[in-house]
Amino acid sequence: MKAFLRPLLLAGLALSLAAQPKAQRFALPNGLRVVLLEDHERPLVRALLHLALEPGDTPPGHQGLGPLTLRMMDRSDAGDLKPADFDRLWEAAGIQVTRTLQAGGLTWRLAARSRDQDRALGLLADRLLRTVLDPQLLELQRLACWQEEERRRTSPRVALRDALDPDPGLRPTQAGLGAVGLDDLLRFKARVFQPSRAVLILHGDLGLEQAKRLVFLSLGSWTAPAAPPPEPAPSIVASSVLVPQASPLVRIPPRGLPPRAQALAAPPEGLSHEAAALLSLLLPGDPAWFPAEARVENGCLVATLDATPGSRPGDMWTRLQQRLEAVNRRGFTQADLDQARAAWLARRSVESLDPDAEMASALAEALGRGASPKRMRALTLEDLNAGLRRWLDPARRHGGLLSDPEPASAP
Amino acid sequence: MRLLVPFLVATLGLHAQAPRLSEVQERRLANGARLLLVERRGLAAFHATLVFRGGGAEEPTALAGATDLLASALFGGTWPEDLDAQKAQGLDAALHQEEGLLEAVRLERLRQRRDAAAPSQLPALEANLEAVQARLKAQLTASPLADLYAARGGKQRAEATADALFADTELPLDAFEFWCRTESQRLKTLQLSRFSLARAALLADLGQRGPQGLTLLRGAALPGHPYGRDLANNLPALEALRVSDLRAYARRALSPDRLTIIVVGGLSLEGALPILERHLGSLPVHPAGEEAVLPEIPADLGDRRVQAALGALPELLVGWRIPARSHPDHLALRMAIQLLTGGPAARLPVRLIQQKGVAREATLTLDVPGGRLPGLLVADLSPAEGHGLAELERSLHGEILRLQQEPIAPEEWQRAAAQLETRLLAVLDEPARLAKALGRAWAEGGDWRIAERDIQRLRTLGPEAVQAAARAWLKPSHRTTAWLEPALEDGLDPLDAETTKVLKALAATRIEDPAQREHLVSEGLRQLRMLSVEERARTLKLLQAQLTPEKR
Repeated sequence: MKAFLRPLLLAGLALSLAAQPKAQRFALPNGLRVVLLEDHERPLVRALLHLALEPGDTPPGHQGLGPLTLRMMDRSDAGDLKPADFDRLWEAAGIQVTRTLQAGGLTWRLAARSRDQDRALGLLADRLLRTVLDPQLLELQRLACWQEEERRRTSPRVALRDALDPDPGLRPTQAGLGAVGLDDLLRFKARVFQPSRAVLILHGDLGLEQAKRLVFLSLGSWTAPAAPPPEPAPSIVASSVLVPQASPLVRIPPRGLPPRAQALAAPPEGLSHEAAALLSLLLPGDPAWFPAEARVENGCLVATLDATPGSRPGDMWTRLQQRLEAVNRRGFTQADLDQARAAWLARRSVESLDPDAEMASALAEALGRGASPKRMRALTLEDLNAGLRRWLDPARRHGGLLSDPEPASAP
Repeated sequence: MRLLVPFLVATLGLHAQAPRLSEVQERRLANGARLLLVERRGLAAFHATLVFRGGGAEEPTALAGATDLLASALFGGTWPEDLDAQKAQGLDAALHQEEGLLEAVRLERLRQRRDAAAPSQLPALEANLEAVQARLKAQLTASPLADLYAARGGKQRAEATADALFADTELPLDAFEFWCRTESQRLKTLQLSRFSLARAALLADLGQRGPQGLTLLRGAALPGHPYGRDLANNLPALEALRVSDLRAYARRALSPDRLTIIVVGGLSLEGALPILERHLGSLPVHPAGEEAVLPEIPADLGDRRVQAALGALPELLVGWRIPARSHPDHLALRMAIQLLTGGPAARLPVRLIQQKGVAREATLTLDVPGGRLPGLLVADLSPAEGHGLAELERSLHGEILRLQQEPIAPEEWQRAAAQLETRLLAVLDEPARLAKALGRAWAEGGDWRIAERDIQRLRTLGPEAVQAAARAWLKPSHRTTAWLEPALEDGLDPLDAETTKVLKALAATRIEDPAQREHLVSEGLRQLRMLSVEERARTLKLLQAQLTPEKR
């Protein structure tokens, strides 16, 4: 019976792989890159528009410029549409919209019934291309932006994680927000909101010709804005995630929470996407971390050790360092590499269950950040362990403690 | 007539586009487990959910937290040693030793609290425990990709709710038989090799998060009911729980007659059913024992209020006791939530946040903490800077009254219907969300078809039905209000902070109703503040002496 079923399953697998949505790519004359993942199973269309952020988009001393620009855009008029009109029109058509801002870029995600796809993309285009920032909103939004940040940092754990962030440009500070003027907002908008920086991923119930027509009609008129006004002072490129730079041990008051030691390591410059993908699979589940835990967040490795009864915060930091060193020294074996490679290849088919994961994967590929199966097969154990050693280099780690003041050894 | 046209268009639109769940195929396995299979030919993988009816609400008090522990210790990962019969024996012996030592350490700590001067066995016991745990750890697989599902590119997660335990897995299609075999083996052996770690993590989590506003509201709105129970009040029982107790509980709670298997993916019923039957269909049915009889609370218990000092920011929570998921009014209440907070153009965001500016955030949640039994519809609002909780509460009740009394504009109705429709399409489109929707419908309503019936009923539901349901359920006699203000301890001197802690612990041992408990604590503090510092310190010692060591 088993022997009879296996070929059936395998045949089914082959059929399924053949039926997976294939990425179709095209670009508009203005430079906007588009990827279509066609799937007509349900009358639903999803869209993801990504605008890449680059080091230097946030000038030094202007932390929070990105979030403030987005707040201002959401609350300003676009053409003859008021902000409330947008909300009403999105909702009248049942269009779901979310917007996120992360170190890699700005992303809008839409989901709409297929009959409302024109309206969904049209409204997004209005918001992106026709918004005129209202200077009268600046003071109010500056305050609201800071209050939101303060509430977010109420949790000591969030405050610790923020303090370790190697790229703090997107985290508003009071001084940073205070330094932002209307010119800064306009410069940021002009620099970032360009079709050449954008990638649009479409998923769902639309064909290639339909997609081309839709994108051309809604975003075809998007042109690179006039050169941004000059910077008031010589611009210094903000520190990137990739700059190796150790920082002193940060200490955050725990306010009733038990002590915690945390280390963050950003991926090193030049780490291949394939090595990064495999290390992201291998590191979090590695029992060598015990009793600490490790996870990969936005591409950064975050190792955490929580207190057990009798732990001293100073010792906790030392113990966490020891775990990091142990993993670094031991490295991975050929068997680990083979297993991780097989898991990575298999995971690609699991992505077909989640449209968001499929779109994220298509975006990574379009941005040149995707790992390729061919290069994955060519990755050697030496490459993998060299990547690990650079990633866990003590000089690149940022460390922090959630604890009351106590003499502690420096990282 | 002008008003009627958009409404008719909206209703017809819903008729034409409403998605269906008719692709669900249902079967029963030989041991009584249900199977719901949704074939998606285009997928190279499958999503599978095991839903065990029961959940936190059915746990006996002595086993409070068992469902959470099973979610993390049994379904949190898939370790080779938990499935290998040969390894199981050696592991069992070490687990048995660990359990004995953990209990000895717990008892010794209690003894130390009672009599701190007595010679302590603790260091020796802890050293023994450490050695046993090191031996245990040596038997666990040390590979970085030890998790069997992760090694096959899969994902796994489990969730314990008040009504059920959900265990989700996603794997490539060629791992389907492997999944069936693994789950069958998992449920047969119930190895729980990570039990002590899972329990320590749960205890730490409960201890760290401190008092929660929502828990307080649930306790006050549903007094004496399992839905109102706070796991944090059962920490001593959780500390004393043995792996053997949990295993015995799991045999009953995870029995096939309480199980529905939901599979969504590139598998046909003809291909999948024999494999499922062979593995999961062969699980033994354990004697069910007595079905838990859960008390019923009348919805019109009266308008209740709680005021507490918790957290760092003020918050208003209002809960209305509402009917269970299977009640005809339940769907109308869901639509009411859509009208009130379905998006930025819904009533509460527009009126309370944008126009009046009294609120910073407003959310409404249905079926807190579950929907199988009558639960709560909860409004959670944060006041905007410069506005108080009283003003916020008045504004919220004003909006509830408007919903009950004023006609709903057709455009507004259309907006809410369109959003629900897009959401339903997304649920149908995503295997994980579809499996969750079917599993919840079965666990809460007793039948997965409730999910389909809701879609059909949405077509005929009118604004009058929503208003009638709002009048019937969102009324003062069904309501509990919690005002949460910044924690007292933040501004207290150390003596007051310690007294508050002890009073809270004492009240928790004697009074179940959190509303009365909070009242007693604040009244006690008020009276104690009239005494001198020395008298207050003496009173604190007397109060501390009344607490059993494990509660201190």
